[in-house]
Amino acid sequence: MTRTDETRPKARGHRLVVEELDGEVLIYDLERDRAHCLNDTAARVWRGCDGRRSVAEIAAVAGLGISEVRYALARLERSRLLESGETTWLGPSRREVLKRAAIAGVALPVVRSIIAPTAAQAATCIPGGGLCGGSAECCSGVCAGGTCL
Amino acid sequence: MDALDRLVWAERRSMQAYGVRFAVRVSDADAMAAVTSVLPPGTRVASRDRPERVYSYIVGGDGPRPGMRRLNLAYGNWTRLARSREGAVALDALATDLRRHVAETAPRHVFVHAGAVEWDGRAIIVPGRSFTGKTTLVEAFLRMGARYLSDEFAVLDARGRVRPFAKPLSVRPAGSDRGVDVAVGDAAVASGPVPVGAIVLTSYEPGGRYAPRRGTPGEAAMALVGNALAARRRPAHVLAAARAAAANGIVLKGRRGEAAAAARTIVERLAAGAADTTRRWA
Repeated sequence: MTRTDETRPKARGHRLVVEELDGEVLIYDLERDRAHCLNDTAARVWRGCDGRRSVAEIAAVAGLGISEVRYALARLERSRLLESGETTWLGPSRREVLKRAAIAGVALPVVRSIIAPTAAQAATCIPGGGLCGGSAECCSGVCAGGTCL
Repeated sequence: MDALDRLVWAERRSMQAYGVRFAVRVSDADAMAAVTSVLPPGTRVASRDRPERVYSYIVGGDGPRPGMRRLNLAYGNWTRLARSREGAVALDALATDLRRHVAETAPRHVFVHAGAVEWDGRAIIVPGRSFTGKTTLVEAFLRMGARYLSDEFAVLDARGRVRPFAKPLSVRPAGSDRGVDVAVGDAAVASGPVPVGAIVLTSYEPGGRYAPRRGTPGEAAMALVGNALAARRRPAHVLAAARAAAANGIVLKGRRGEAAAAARTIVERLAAGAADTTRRWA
């Protein structure tokens, strides 16, 4: 089922760590071990999602057009940053929003996401001869028989 | 660990680094000097013998019978880290695991896999995985007169400042995946902590020309989180330190070519960015 402009989206509030940074918002999803960065435009939409405002009201609060808000909602939902429901936001195409945003002089809503690394992924690789549990741990990229080549 | 505990150890020491307690023990007292030489920078003797992790190093050599040779073995708790004819390989594995353990569990610092130097009182951080050219870029900065912070970890405190983690530079000769340690003189090491001046998001592209674009603090913070060893273990702590670090510096992004030219460009941009900041706050 597709959501309509009368739907009142609500920003997810549980199991998230949130930090504000110069207009951008950094979010760590404790359930999925993903980190997200919302640019200023996406952040304004996300902050406006209080579960009481309609899309038009969020657009007014955020100072954006309806298309940009729908586009942002689709991205926020894909990143699991809205309270889940049985409905789905179908945002306009990126090209369409880009065109409108350029005319209005606002930045496209952007949600950047990464999977948080495990310690092994973020650490220095294991040199040749060291014991390994997988090829990703080795500097050579090859773990053969439990030893890095 | 029981089997290891039953062995007779020639020497054992309790140490701590960045608030992480560990012990090292060796089967031959002569090997302790070699082991201590590869411990993380800032390691000191612990006041209490309550290690969170015990590292064991069993020295190889000639076996009890002619033609028999014992291998060098390194363990982190009960996990075997290396088993090699070469002592250097076993020591290297022990040192790598220990640095990772400290980096992941340090209670008050956030370790980000990155190269870092101090330039004119500000830190330049180059976060990135292995083989992205961090050490080469750090070397280029040092040749220009920068002070060394680390070629492996940018150690962030809660205020986003960078503390030195001055292990020897690990320079990989062409075609090799094993680093060769190159000592950095004490005079060239920053005393820290150093506020962040620039966060450089880059990787090496042969023949490339470096023309970095300005990134946002959010992009820089994401790069720091994406290279933080404790990202999953202590996400709130990591996010706060990344935010604090990224809020203060300029952010440069783009592939680079030769390190020397890139280092010059980064330093010029840092100087220009500092001037911008001065004007903004004047």
